[in-house]
Amino acid sequence: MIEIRDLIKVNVTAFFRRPVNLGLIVFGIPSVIYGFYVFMRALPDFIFPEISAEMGAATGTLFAVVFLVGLVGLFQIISSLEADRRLSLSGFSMQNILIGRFLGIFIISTIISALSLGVMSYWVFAESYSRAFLVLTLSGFMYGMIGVLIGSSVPKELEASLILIFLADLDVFLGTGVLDFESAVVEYFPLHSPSILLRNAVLNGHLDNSHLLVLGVYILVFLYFSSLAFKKASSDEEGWF
Amino acid sequence: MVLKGLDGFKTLTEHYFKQIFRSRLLVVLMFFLPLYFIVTMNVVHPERPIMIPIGDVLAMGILSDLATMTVVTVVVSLLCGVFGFFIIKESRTDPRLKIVGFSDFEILGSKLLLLSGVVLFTTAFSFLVMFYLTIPENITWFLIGVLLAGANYSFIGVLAGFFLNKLPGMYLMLFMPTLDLMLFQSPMVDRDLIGEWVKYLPGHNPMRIVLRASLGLDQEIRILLYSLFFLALLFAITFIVFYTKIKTK
Amino acid sequence: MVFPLIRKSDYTGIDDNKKSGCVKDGRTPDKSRGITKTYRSKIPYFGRDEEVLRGVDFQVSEANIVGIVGENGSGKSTLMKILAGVMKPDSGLVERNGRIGWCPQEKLLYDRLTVDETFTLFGIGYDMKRWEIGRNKEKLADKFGFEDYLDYQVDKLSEGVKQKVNLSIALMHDPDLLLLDEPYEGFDWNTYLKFWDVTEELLESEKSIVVISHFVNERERFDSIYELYGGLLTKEK
Repeated sequence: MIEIRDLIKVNVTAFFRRPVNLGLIVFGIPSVIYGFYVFMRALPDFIFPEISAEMGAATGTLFAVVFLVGLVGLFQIISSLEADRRLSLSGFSMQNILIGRFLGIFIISTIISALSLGVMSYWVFAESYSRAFLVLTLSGFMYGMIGVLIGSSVPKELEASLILIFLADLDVFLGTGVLDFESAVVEYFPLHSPSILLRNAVLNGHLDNSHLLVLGVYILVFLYFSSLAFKKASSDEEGWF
Repeated sequence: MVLKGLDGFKTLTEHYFKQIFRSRLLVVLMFFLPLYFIVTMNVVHPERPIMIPIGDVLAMGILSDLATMTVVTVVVSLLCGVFGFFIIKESRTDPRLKIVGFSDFEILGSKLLLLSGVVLFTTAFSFLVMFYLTIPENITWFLIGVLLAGANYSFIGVLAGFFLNKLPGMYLMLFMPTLDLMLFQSPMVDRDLIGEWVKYLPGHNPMRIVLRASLGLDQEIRILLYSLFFLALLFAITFIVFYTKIKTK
Repeated sequence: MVFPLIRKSDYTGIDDNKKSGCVKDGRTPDKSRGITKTYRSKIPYFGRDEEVLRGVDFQVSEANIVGIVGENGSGKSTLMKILAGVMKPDSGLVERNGRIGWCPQEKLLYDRLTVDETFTLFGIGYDMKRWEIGRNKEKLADKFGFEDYLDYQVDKLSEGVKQKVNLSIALMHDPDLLLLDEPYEGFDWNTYLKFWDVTEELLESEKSIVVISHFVNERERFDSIYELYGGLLTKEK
């Protein structure tokens, strides 16, 4: 337990210790949320009759959080793989290192979600802030796992970043319903259920159990595969690619 | 400062190219990412007619075609921006090259040449992918618009590479082209509600060229001139920042 | 725009690397006086300033091999970067005569280029002709025993072989002054001995060598040894 606590502390402080990361939270997240808010506000009503400017801000908040936590997962893994291997030789078990890393990402997700929700509340009043916070944290964590999966499988920063960027971009625009289209395939995008859950949390304060279940399943699936990928990467210097 | 002539310049560019593109995965991604993004956006958008306000006129287009053409611009800008960022991030060996005898101009010039190649390639390939799905009314102007957007964002990526770490840099290089090109420059938004400030974003003029070319409308030469001016300004800023950074401290 | 926070230096002048050295009599390929360097925090009033060099005087004569030792973090690599011209001192004067070969502690190589391509790149930088590059590359590869790895990408090499390449890049253009930062890190015993053979040959052709290490074995191989401590350089007796 003490090991895991130490590892969590290292992972979390490593992120918040850098001034540019704090700058990102202060400037980057509000810019994204405001951007989505302004976009939705400027669209004629007939384009998205069900999605208001406020919902645009909520979607922007979701995107801002998940992509940041996804990047954290990705870059932490790539930069720390060798150090983690070394840590395992000094006595930490690989399992504890993994748990420490994942819990660290979870805590980063909670902090970023809380801050983002605070920014969002400037434009949007949520019927249930606690439920909105829960959705954001879990969604952020899910993307953190996606980041870990990509980073472990492709331990090269340029390539891994490109994969995450293109995945996240498409996921947001198709999975969350920002763009108008008709296709069943979008229900399988990772952000589809979180976007519906967040909208409900903001609009009426309720969470749909079926979508919550879907989000939970996605988290477990990505947790499983990212653990496998991390284990493989930490024992094999070259990763999958 | 010693200039080695073309040989030094050519050698540097060739070696930078090898350094970056020897990654097979990266080469695969250069092909796969535009393909997957453009095709997906085309498939999920319905083929229904839509009236688009362009300036003072209302033009009719097909939603899936317009979405595809917009996405080509976004894809090129994303890729070029990320490349620009990483080209600078991979610069730790540059001081050694300077000691060895390469000049600042040769080092910067080689990187910019490589980046130009990336802009050209991503534009050409994305256009080819799009060509199977839809064809803009005016191909030449369409390509000009996409190239300008890609070039703008490649310089922005370079500037971000000088000042930001990888995490915030990647955050910026995702959101800036996405918000700018996909959202703020969308022809559907009400300009009065969004504000005049979007005119100053890097994607504004290139996107106007792209949309007009997509719909077969006449181009305004002043938009092209504004775009070129903006590009020249970005180039100048990049040059100054690079020169300041690479100078021995 | 970010403005550098380092105060305007009052150094009196730096001669840039002179490629075709104007080597004077009583020759001193490298002479430095009053070198100071402080690493300042990037944000004013936050973080620590670190004064690393507090007035270093240093000189190496022709056909001399000098060692600089010091604890970790004492500023050895900083001093070497200033001597090589990679970094500017806050104050002081550095004079360099002749060609410089710098072998940094961090292997500043392009990891996806092959060893062959690395030699070509740096050789062109040194203004060497292609045949000269080929000849010197073969000679050094044979000397240090990495001839089997010439078509390997740098990231596929072991750390020891990488260091051989790192050192060879500094030697390939027949420099007058060699600045070596932890040059034998990762070397096997045979390569370590070959390194000293090469230094003997260089000294016989009146080259000068500065070796930085956090410890120096075989003190008799050096003409003099300096210790960097508290930002100052003192000659060991």
